[in-house]
Amino acid sequence: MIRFILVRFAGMILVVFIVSVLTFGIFQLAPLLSHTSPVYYYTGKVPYPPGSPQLQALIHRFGFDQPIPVQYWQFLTGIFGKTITDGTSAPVQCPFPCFGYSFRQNDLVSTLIGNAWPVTLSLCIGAAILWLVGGVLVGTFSGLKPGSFVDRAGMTGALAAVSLPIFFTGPVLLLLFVYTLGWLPGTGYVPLTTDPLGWFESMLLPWVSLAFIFAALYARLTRSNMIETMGEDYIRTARAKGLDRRTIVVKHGLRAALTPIVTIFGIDFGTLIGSTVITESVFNLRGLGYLSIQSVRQQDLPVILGVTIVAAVALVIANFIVDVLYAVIDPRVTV
Amino acid sequence: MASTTPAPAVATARDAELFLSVEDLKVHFPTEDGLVKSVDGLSFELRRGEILGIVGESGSGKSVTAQAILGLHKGSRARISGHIWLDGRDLVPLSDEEMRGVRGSEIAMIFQDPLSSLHPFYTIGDQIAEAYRVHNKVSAREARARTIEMLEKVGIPNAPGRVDDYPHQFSGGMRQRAMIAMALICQPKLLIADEPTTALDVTVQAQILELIKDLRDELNSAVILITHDLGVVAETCDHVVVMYGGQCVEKGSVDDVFELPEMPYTWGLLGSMPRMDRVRQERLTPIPGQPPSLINVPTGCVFNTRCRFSDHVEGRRCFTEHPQLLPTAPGHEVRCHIEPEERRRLFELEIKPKL
Amino acid sequence: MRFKRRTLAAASVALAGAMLLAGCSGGGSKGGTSNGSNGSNGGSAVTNGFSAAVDKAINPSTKKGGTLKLLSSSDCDSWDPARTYYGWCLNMQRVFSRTLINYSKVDGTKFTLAPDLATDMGQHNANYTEFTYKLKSGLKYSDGKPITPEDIKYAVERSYATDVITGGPGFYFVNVINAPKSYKGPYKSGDLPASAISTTSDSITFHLKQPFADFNYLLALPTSAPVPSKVEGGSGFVGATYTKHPVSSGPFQIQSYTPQKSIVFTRNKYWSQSTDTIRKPLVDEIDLTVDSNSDDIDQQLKSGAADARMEQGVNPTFQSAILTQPKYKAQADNPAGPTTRYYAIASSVKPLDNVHCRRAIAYALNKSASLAIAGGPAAGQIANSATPPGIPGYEPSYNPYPDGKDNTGNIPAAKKELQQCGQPNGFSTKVAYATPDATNGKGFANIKSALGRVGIQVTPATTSAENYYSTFVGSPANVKNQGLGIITAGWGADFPTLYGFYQNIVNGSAILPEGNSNYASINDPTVNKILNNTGQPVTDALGKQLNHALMDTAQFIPTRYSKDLWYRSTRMTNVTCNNALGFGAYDVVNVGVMK
Repeated sequence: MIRFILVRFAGMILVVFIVSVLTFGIFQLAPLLSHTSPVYYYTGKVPYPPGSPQLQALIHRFGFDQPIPVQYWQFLTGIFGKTITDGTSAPVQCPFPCFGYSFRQNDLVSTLIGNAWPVTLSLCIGAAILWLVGGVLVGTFSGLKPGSFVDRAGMTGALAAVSLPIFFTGPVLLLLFVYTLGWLPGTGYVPLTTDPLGWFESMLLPWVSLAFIFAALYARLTRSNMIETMGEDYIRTARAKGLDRRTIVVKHGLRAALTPIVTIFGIDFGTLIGSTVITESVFNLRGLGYLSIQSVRQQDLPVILGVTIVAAVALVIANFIVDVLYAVIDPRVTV
Repeated sequence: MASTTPAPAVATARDAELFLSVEDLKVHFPTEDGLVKSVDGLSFELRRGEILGIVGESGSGKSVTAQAILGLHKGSRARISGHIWLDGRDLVPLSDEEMRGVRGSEIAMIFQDPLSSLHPFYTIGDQIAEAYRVHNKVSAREARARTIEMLEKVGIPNAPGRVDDYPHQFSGGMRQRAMIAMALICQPKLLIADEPTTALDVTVQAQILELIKDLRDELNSAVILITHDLGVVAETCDHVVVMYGGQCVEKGSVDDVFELPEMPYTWGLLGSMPRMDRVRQERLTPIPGQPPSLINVPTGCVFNTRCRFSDHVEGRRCFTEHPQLLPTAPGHEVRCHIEPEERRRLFELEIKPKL
Repeated sequence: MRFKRRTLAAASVALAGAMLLAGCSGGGSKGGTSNGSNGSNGGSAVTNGFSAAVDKAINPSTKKGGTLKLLSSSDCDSWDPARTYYGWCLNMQRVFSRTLINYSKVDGTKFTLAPDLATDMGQHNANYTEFTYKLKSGLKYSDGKPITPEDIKYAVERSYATDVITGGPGFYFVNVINAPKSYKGPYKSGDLPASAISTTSDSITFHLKQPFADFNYLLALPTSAPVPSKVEGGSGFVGATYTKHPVSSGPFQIQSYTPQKSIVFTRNKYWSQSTDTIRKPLVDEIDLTVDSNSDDIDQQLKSGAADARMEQGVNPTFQSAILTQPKYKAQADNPAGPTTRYYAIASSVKPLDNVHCRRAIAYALNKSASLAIAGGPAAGQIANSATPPGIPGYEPSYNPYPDGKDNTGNIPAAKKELQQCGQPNGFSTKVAYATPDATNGKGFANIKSALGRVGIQVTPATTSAENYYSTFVGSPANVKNQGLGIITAGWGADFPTLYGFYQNIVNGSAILPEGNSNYASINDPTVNKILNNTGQPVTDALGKQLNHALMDTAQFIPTRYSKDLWYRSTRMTNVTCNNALGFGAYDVVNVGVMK
């Protein structure tokens, strides 16, 4: 097991390294291909002719006058901490994990990400709990009696939910519970640490609308797994033993039916960390998704790079946890 | 393996009252294509200490019968009628919940493929102990001790060390032994073994059968052994029911049925059975044709489409009239329109020499 | 001026990055608009009504106190007065940043400058190379320290630190102030010599390297708002981080600021009404909250939970509600301004090197359909020539390429031009536009079918909105290499003069190899001469001359002067549009609230 974890961990580092090289490379390549000074990507329109001292000053500030490998090396070593200075403002200490400095937002990328991740994590964890519980419940009941009323209702609902994008469900929920009924406060994030109830109220609709689409997928997945599992020989054995139905369904059926879902869940959750843009925009949350879309709009390369790496790390960690978890859950997996 | 070898006689078994009595059991499944008559009017009885073999090809209704006795069709769409008297109680009208108390404790079952029949995520020990604890109020520790004891009894070497293994860590024979341990841990009065040796190689097969017989002796249980292998039946059973198309076509003591089988289908089965006690004269002769559809059961005899001997019956009775299961000798019943004398003559002249 | 908002009906063909200037409706003598209150009846007692606040302050009141609640879907590009370039942010700067000269009238189409920190409009020499201003006495920052001429000089110096002070329109100063070539701003090069900017205890003199008659307009941008010399916003808020803690010179100061979330302004107790003739603040507090859900903003406006949105007009959903329901319509304004949507025709792409082929396009366009796609009359009015209302030389009667009574195109004239061009059966070229396209391709479909009527076949050439202006059409080499014959564009001025509107987009002597805003590389001697001659105040006649010369090139084919639809709460008093700087957003500094 230790060896298994170590090997997976090494693989994890390698993937993150490759992601960083690729992302970095793309950002080097893009200006090159479009024959544009990368300065434009940091500052938007710069009305200085190429070769002008003003433009040179900018290029130097962003470090674009260094050879590309040097830039990458500085980026890489910089992750473990460095001091950032533009020679004017007070030097900024950038401790580990340092992804550089956003010249557009005048803040450390790690600070920006640090401010954003509690929001995204709140969103993702809450939604994940909702969709797992909801999806698995609906899927289980549907799968136990395929073709029954419960099944038909559940699957029709799931189909509807899958077809409803967040930019539809989100505003509809807002319209209903905020604008019309006034049961919930308006949009925006309330930190858990300052006001737990407010946090819950502010996150409820985002959770529901994000969970909706996933719950539907998980319901369908659970259903088909459940149908398959309940037809397995070992379920027949369990019945032949005289076990009661709940034990059969929960202990023998669900346990097996949910195992593949763990894998999918891990990947979904990992992917979700970097892709909650729409939910965050609709509900006015300042999470990683909003940060990334904002950075893309502003061409804020260090932040894009940082968010990409954080998202990649999240995905890789999720994958890693799934692998370990799978080995724990399924004794047949040799580790 | 000799068909003539009698099963060990157990004195107590002969004296016992009827323990299991199946009367006119029908198991029908409504499907979109029509009504599947998996079992249609099956009757047999069994005493404690006896081993009953049910033989037949795939789809003849053997396993459905076993599962019906265990009540595994309850809660599904299957329509079940008739009576299954177990120790004086009819199991057919029982609810699934009532039946639950019977399963595992009074009736236990061993399945064909032990790998798929064991849950891959739980240890052997857990699964066996679970069977014990569901019917006995005991602590986990007691259940574990009992599990180890059972594993030792079924011949698992180093049982205390293997009890926490997972099914995939066991060999095929060991898994089947574990299944048997699971089935027997509550000392059931009726054990149903559904093709318990099919997935196993020949030496292991013999060991497992021996084990079942030993346990039968020890617990004085009744055993139903479902198989398509007549050799197994000859080796193990006291009585045999030959099923075809959901119906019993011949039943009797193993001695009678193997010495003087009277139903052409049984002849076919015997013909397709490898024999070790004789020099093989020609190639094994499989029964030509396909088993009948259980939705559109042919009128007349169920076996008529494959029977070579229907011209030994006057007219077209085999195709028009459903034969009754009639006694041909004490304890020996046959479902065939051919006259008993003619059947015996045909067997002696045409079948026996080729076996 | 950097354009940060969607035009009405989500219809701007050239979304994002486009540059537009605000302006008010007044110039609507062209008709065409349904705008009811262009003509000012001058009554100050006007309460509500559609477009009532377009050219005058409505709901007059002197009631003080209360909190003004504003919303925006995004934060400002910067709160550093030297680094902001978004129109709505320039408007927000009026709340806390004062400059020597400022706009005293921002509504309507004729904007007026007035002394703000200065005692008068300043003194200049005969050839407009020296400008001297005397500061009022008693001017103080929100920390109680006095505002000095040194601070204004320092503010201008900061614009030279292009590596730190990025983003704003400081290049206007860099281009005209007589600074040493090697000067790199106060952080690296120290003070500017007196030969560039000289100060006394109460006055400041700017020395220019070239005559520049529009200099007061530069000063009216917040770029030169005073910044405490050397110390700036205090420890940790010097240079790039000044945006997080800018010091106030205006009636409000920043109480709290959370980037991307909210900014709260409260009254600056050191500001004195007696020194300020431009602002008459009434409220105690101004809250600007960033809400990424643009429709949620409209919902809050509709419900009265918020007073106004600042960064752009209302979204299409609310827009249609406004235009169809009188109760909402009475709360809305639809100012038209000096903002032109146009096609830049690249002469580097054959056969568009021939003026007749370019004119054929001008004749064949269907501007009427184009306006309908953009959202109808509420989205603007059809433009017959380049110069929009609010810019000197605006001439609604001038229509060099008449396209029929209904503005659907003049097919015979187009065909005739094609004959003269030697392409009687038409030709093929590309139409460049940014994606995602707010019209969902309808804009392209329109030009394709319109030009198809005379045999001009067009294919789309698109790139993301982020790259469109910087590298796609902003690089003359790329325009030529990719054959981008017809370039979809829009522009608004940084200040309402010929220079402020046209310098970047048509001056052939200011073409840049990258980040170029003269997309078609227009290089007309008459146009260049007028724009390069900055040593005289611009007259209407000069403006007309430029407009005519530009239209003659047929490289700048205007389609409409765009308008936005804004919504004001009933609570707001003294409310009017800021067309000079804010694209028509409400001039919030003078607004009061009822209740």
